[in-house]
Order: sequence, then structure tokens, then C-alpha cells
Amino acid sequence: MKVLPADKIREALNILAGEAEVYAPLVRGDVSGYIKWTDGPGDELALDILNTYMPPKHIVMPQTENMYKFIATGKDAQVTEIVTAEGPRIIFGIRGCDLQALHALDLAFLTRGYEDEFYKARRQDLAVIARACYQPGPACFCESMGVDRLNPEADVVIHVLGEQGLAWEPKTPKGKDITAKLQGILVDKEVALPQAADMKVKVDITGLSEKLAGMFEHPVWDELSSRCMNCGVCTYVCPTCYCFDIQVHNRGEAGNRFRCWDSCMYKEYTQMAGGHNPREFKKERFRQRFLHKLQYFNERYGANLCIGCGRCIIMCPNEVNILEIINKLKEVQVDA
Amino acid sequence: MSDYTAKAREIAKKLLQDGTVAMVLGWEKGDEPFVSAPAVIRDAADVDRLVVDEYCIHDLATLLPDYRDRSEKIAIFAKGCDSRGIVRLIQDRVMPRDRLYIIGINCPGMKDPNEFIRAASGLSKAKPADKAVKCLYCQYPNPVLYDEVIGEIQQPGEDKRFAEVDKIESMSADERYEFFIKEFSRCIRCYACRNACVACNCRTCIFDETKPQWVGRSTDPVNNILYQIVRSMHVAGRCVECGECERACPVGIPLMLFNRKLIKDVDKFFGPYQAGISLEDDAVPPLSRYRVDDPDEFM
Amino acid sequence: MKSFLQYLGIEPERYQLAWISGSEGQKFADIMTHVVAEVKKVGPNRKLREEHE
Repeated sequence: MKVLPADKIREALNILAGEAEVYAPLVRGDVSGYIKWTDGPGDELALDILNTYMPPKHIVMPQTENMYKFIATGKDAQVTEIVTAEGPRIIFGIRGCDLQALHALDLAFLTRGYEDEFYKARRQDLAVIARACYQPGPACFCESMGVDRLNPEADVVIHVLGEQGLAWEPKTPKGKDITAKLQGILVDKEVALPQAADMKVKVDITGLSEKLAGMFEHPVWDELSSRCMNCGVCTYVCPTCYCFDIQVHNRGEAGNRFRCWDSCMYKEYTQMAGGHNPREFKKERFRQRFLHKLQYFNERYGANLCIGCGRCIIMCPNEVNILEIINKLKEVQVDA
Repeated sequence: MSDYTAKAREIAKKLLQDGTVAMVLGWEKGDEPFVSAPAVIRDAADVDRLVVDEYCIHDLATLLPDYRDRSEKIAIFAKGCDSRGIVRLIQDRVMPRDRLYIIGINCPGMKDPNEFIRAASGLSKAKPADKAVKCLYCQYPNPVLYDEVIGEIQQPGEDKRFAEVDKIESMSADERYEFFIKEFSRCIRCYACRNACVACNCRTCIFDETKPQWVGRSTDPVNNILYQIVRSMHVAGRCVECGECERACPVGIPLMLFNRKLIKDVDKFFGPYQAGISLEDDAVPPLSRYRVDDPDEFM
Repeated sequence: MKSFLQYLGIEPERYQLAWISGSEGQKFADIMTHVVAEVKKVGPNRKLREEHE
């Protein structure tokens, strides 16, 4: 098997960054995320933490993304499209959970007869170097959500071997191209892959989507949502939450239109022009988030919109726990 | 704090059984020993879910506005900081005093479950602290308002709450600007600081307004900092220093540097003032009342 | 607010506040002249500016 020695990882990233934008798991002060690799000071490559706090979704849908700009002159307006990402891009080191999240985003943005051009521009030349995950954490439950954490469906799969570096396994033609660029530093070597630890947290969601279809008005939502304080942490650290809003920035006759992440946790999200708000209170907003994850997305795309990374559990200031919620939703009786 | 839980259950049970209150806002254990989480108990049979331990860091008063348009009486557990939050809500006319039965907790300081969750999660190599950051400068460990109280009276620590503000003030203007822009460059605009704040109790928040839109929605250091300037000015003089905003922040922005600067300024311009420690008329926050001799300098 | 903006690194000259009655035309003119002179001294603002394409 090909191996990238530990002391050559930086060099490899620098080589790849010479020809593509490379996003790697980096720790920067109090936060960690998939940040553009510049080999700059203050950024620490984080292959020894389980995952990054911030998900990689910003690579395909930045939190704020300019769409076009305009200049109004009298009755006419001149509109200039803002070209988004061009050229090859690589995500390095993402895990099966985040990769499955990316596939869920693909379903939302690229299928069902509509292709989102902004998403597509960032997605089409994106190569994925995914990492097999041998040591899941206490909040991880990706297997229950159908993630193959040991064999992620990527262009290259890497296996972190500690001091020995990374076992490097190209899987697709794109992956082989990337591998060819690292010809000089990859070595051929017999290595033993790590032992995979069991995932302790398991939850069976078979039939949950169908059950939830009859639970919209169930009183349990009052109880479940009582702990939530309706901030947007869970939606912004979630690798699959993809809601966005389109806003305009005006200065005199000129301006630009941009889109930015939005959250179903906010009251403004469903505020209508006439003043009515169909999700006036937190229960409705809370319910929306979980029904979207566990029911609606399933009904439309046949896939889960939760991939079990556990970030919302880890980050919630009021300890709302999606596993507890799934278990309670499974327990409650639904009147036929 | 080992005896707090038994006492808490006993009080809650009695209140629910004799119909004094319809619900109890307390804490229950999560799936890890270091997780206590806010809980709503409506049935005396469920009081054994309640716990009061060193992980009960959440300010339950933050959840009270959810019940503002109802009439049931609510029992709520309140540490020193939380009780100041309750005073805040009563003064702001969010919750009348007679709808609350306040069970005070003399608080020796809490640990932050989120620090422990993050440390255990494998996402961080940071070690959790024995005492949460928000408790380090606590001046009111004992509740200021309660119907009954649990535990021994606690002594506040040394008052060093402005130490970090002083440090920032000693920097040059450009250094301060660079410092804050850097801190706010990682803000993700999740509004957790707003939602965790007991002084942020407006029915419609300015940041949810679209006509006009007061602060831009794009996530960039300048709009992020403008958001926080507006937010902290809104709670100036009303901030009870519970530190929940900073605790809730998922990216660790030192928000109390804003709040404490404004507290320091309120003290300077209007005379020493502690928010949320008394329900007396003259304890109304300086910026919530008008006096002819109010100083112009705060503006 | 002025003190707070200073804390954030904004020059105090840029934010000034005065009470002027509708009948105090001369005072308004004097203060505005003063504000403009002060702001000119510190030059164009580079802080808290939105960067947009």
C-alpha cells in the first residue's frame, strides 16, 4: 500500500495547494474547521482530533456568498454575475459522516430537475480525500444513520497510522491523478491498518420517518422543545443543514445580492410579508428542524438528513440531544 | 452539594402536590454524569428526575419568557446569577412576581457541562476547568430573591470583574480594534448569545426585523461586531453578569468584555449600579428610566 | 456609546453628541463646523467599514 510518511504531510498539502484550493481540518485558536490550507502560522493541522467543530459545508455553500452586483442608472440596471469558485478544489481528511452530509447536500442542490448553479460551481471540481474513521467518539452515531465510516465513498481514502503517517488509497480516476502528483513522496510499504473500535452509541431509526408523519400535532413536541432556547447553533454546526436566505446590500444606486445561511430556529425565517408567522413559537420551529431531518428529507430523497456526527449534541448550550429526542419520539404512542 | 438534590425534590414534590404551582423549572441528568440539563416537571410523580448538582450551570430564567402569555404559576430554581435574571424579568414586565415560586440555591460555583462534553467528544484537547469561566468573578453566589432557599450561604470571591476590561483599555486604539475584529471574525451569527440572555427578552428582536433591516446579515467581521455593539448596548445597565452569552458562544468570543465595559461606564456615569439585585422602584436600571440630571456623556 | 466606540478603537472625534434646540441656529452651525474640522483632522475612517465587491 502507498504510505505518506508523517513528516511529509505538510509537503503533500503544499504540493496539492499549488494546483488546487485545499481545505484541511485545522485548529485556529478556539475553533476548528475545514480551512483553506496556506501553511500559515497559527493554524495547526488537526489529524489527531476526532472531528472539527465547524462542518465542511461552507466549502460548497459559504456562509455568505455573493451572487450578482448591480448598478441602477435611471430606469435601467446593469447586472453583473459574480463568478463563484473556479478550478480544482480538494477537501482533505473529512470523515465518512461529513462526506455523507455532502452527498445529502448534493441531493438537495443538484437533483429533482434543478441544479443550483452556485453550489454546482463549487462542487463540480471538488475532489475528496476522505479519512477512514477507526475511533468514534461518545457522541458519534453515524453507523445508525447509514454511514460507512471505514470505507467512505471518496476519490482517495486515507488511514491515519500515527507516527507512520497515512496509508493512501486512491479509489477513482480523479484520486489517481491526485496520487500521481505526490509520486515523489509516497512510498510503497506493507502496513497494518488500525483496529476499528466499536461505535458505542446505536439508535434504530427504522420506521421513524413513517411514524413521524402522524406526529405533527403530538403533544410530545411541547416537552421535547422545552429545553431549547431557539438559538441557531445546532443548524450552523450541522453539516447537512442547508437553508439559506437571499439578501441585498444596497448603497445608493449600486449594490449586490448575496445569500447567507439561515436557520429554521429563527422567528424571522418564516415571517411573512403580511405579518403572519406560521412558526410563531419555539415548539413549531423546533419541530420543523427534527421533522426535516428525520421525516421530510426522507420522504423526498429517501435519505437521512442527519448523519450522526454528534456536533449538535456537543455544541448545544442547553444540552438538547438529538439521540434523546429520537428515542423519545420512538417511545411515544401515536393514536391511529 | 450532595444534599441539594434531595431537598429540591422534596420542595418540588410538595409544590406540585398541593397545587401551589403547575410546573417546575429545574434540571435533570443527561446521558453523561457531567451533563445536567434544563427540565420542565409538571407531575409530582416525575420529581425524581430533578437534580441540583455542580453541573446545573444553565440560567433557567432564560426559559421563562416562553411562558409569558400564560397564567400558570411556575416554580423555578435559581442560583445567585439566575435570581438576578428573574429580577430582570420582573422589572422588564415579562413575568409578574406572583406567578413565580422561586427556590433559591446558594451556589458554590458551577462546572460547565459543555466544556466536559467537548473534552470527552474528542473534538478538543482542552481540559475542562473546575470552575466555569462565568463563575470566576461572581459577586452574588446567593440568590437575591427567593421564596425558600437551599444550601449554606456562600462567600463571594474577590471583585476582579473589570480586570480584563482594564487590560483592553490599556491597549492602543489600533490594537483594540485589531483585537476585536479578530475575535469577531469567527462569529457565525447563530444568535446563541442573544437567546441565552435573560435581558434579551423583546418579543420581536431588532435582528429579526427586516423592514428596516438594522444590521446586515452577511457574516463578516464588521457586521458581526456591529451586531454585538447593538446587542450589548441594548442590555447596557440591564446585564446581570450571568455570563450565559459567553458560555453559549460556540466559537468562544469573549463577550463579557463588551458587557463589563458597559457596566463599568454605567457605574462611571450614573453612579455604582448592580443590575437585578432589587425590586425596589429606585433599583430600575439607569437606562430604563429618565431623570433630568442624567449625564449626556453616556450617549 | 462614545466611550464604548473608543473602547473598540474608533477615534472619539468621529462620534459627537450635542443638544441643540430648533431655535439655536448659530449653535448648530458652530458645532457642525467644529465636528467637520475634528473629523478632517483624523482623516478618512478605515475602521468598521463593510467590504463588498
